[in-house]
Amino acid sequence: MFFHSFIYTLKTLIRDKGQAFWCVLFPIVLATMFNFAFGNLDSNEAFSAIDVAVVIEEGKETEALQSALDSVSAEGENQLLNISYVGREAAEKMLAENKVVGILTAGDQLTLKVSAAMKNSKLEQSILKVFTEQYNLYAESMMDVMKTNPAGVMDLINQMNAEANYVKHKNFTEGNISAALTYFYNLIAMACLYGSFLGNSLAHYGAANLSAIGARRLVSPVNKFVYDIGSVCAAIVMEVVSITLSIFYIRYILGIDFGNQFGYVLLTVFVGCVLGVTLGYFIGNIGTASSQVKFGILISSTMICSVLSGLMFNGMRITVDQFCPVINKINPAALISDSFYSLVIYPDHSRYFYNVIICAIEAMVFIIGSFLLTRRKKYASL
Amino acid sequence: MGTPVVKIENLVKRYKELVALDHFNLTIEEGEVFGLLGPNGSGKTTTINCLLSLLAFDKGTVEVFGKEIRPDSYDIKKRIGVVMQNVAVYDELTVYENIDYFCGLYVKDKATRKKYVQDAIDFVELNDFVKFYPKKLSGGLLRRLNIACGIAHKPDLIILDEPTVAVDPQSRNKILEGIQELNRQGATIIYTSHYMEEVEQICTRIAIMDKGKNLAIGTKDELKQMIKKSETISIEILDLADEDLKAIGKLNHVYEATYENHTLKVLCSGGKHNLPHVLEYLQSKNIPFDRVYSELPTLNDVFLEITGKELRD
Repeated sequence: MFFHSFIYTLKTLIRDKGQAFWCVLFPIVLATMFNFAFGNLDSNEAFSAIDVAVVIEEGKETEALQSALDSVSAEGENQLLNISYVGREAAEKMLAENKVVGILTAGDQLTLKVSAAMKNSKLEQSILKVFTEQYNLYAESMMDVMKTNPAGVMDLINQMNAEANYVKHKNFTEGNISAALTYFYNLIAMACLYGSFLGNSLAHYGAANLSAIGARRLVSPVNKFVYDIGSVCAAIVMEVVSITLSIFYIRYILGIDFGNQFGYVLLTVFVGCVLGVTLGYFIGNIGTASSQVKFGILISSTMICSVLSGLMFNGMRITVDQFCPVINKINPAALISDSFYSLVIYPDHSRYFYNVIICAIEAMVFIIGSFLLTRRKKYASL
Repeated sequence: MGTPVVKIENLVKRYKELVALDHFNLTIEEGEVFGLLGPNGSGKTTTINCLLSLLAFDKGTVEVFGKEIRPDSYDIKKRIGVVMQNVAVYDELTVYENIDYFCGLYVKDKATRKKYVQDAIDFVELNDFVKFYPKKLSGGLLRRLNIACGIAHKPDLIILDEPTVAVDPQSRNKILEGIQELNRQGATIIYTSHYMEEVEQICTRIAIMDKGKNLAIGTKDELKQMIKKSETISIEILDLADEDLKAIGKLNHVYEATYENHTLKVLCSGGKHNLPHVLEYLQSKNIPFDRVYSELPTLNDVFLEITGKELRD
């Protein structure tokens, strides 16, 4: 009976166009939209040298400034500025045309002019401001020392050179911590939870008060437990194949890197799909509301879970962790996406397996709950 | 007499304030085509659902093949075939796959199942449609598929709940002939309907239900003998005097005579040759008449006389 149920359930699910849309097409369409929306998220965060125009006023001594500017504009990974030495008029024109972020003018002091219209360059403007202020501070200190203690100039220069940066940049992990990637993890988590629609469909066709097919099945001499396990397994297979297709699409068509632990990725997908299908099966077997009402409940609850796990806003999970951390410990979407995340971030798998085990426990609760709800059931009304 | 196939005793089913089955009793013997006749809402489907252990009931006992039926009575359920009022097939499976699927819930052996499925397809004459999906079938063909799914495993007891609703006359006749054929092959049939003509045509015994009660039970002739009316005579007459109407009302076996819209209607109870007696009177009085009809009582008349309302209401 298990195989009879498994094969025919799989046939009906594969041929159901509505289910095919939610399981296969919807995650692919959403992933494509995500790729358009978040594809440049990481490149936006990367730093590039700031374009700046430098104007040197006539008759001014600029040797020290030239030296400083040369050091910060030297090509390499530490290049801060990309300098154009131009006249006043040309510099103003370049600023007006947004070709430079600001104009540095070497006069009695180094001054900075930026355009208020360049709202997207606030960070670069701040860097230029800090550079200008620091240069002027050093220059002033040098002048004071030269006036009061010319012999101490060399000491001052040595001190300046000796200023060390005690903070060293070090990556927390060797993995890819792309911000965009977390959106795709959440998308896959949501797609796994969409397996609940399949579970709800199974419950619909197994209940005499919801469908004529359910009534016909319940009057047959079939062990409901064995039959339903066959159906649930078929739905899980359908869902796993769908999500794996989506992952292949994201990996190979959209070019989003899921890391090199593909076996663990598949395990996460499998557990996520089991959780999704059993969640839908459980909700589908509760109460006497119609399947459409239960579908509505499922679509809204999966959406809420996904939003709380960070599908819409990357920092949401941190916010939830601050105000109600238990939600992240039980939210299926958060557990699934965090499993993907921890695969990339952490060198060991302890957090990954913690998430996977919690998912498995939740799925067990849902499936046992479903059987208790439907076991030897007689209806009050049909 | 052996063990009855179905025995329902004192069955009570309430939906909150509404009493759907009110101390309902029924016994069905092996080999019968038993009709449950009643208007919509009379309790026919509720009876069937209790009989199949789908519905919980408040009081009473239901035995099938001599044993009390419960949701896990697999040995009893194995011998029952059900054709639901609503078509219960998967839109995503073909005609063949649907029959094979439902047959497979009863028959594990693949070779046997294959034969049974083919027999069912032959029986409902769907050979030309085996690869069709249900959405491509007409209403009549869909009903035939619904029947095939219910009877493919060759059950001993077949329950058909209004299987001809929304079916064209040709398909209806095929379905009714098929039911009689299943009975000839040895199956006991329970047939619920609110179409009295169908029940009269195929059922060997009939229970008339209303408001959850079994009002009368017997063969169609036994039921008709329970009522006063045995014949209704209708005669078209251009003009009829009151004294003639009164005289006709006093003829032997006539218990009511009315004249409306140029039609004389005479209700007779028992007796023979009632029509010749009425016609003789008209001729003796030189009263010209046109068309003449004589009707024997129907189950609707039985229902009307027992409940005071039409079966079709």
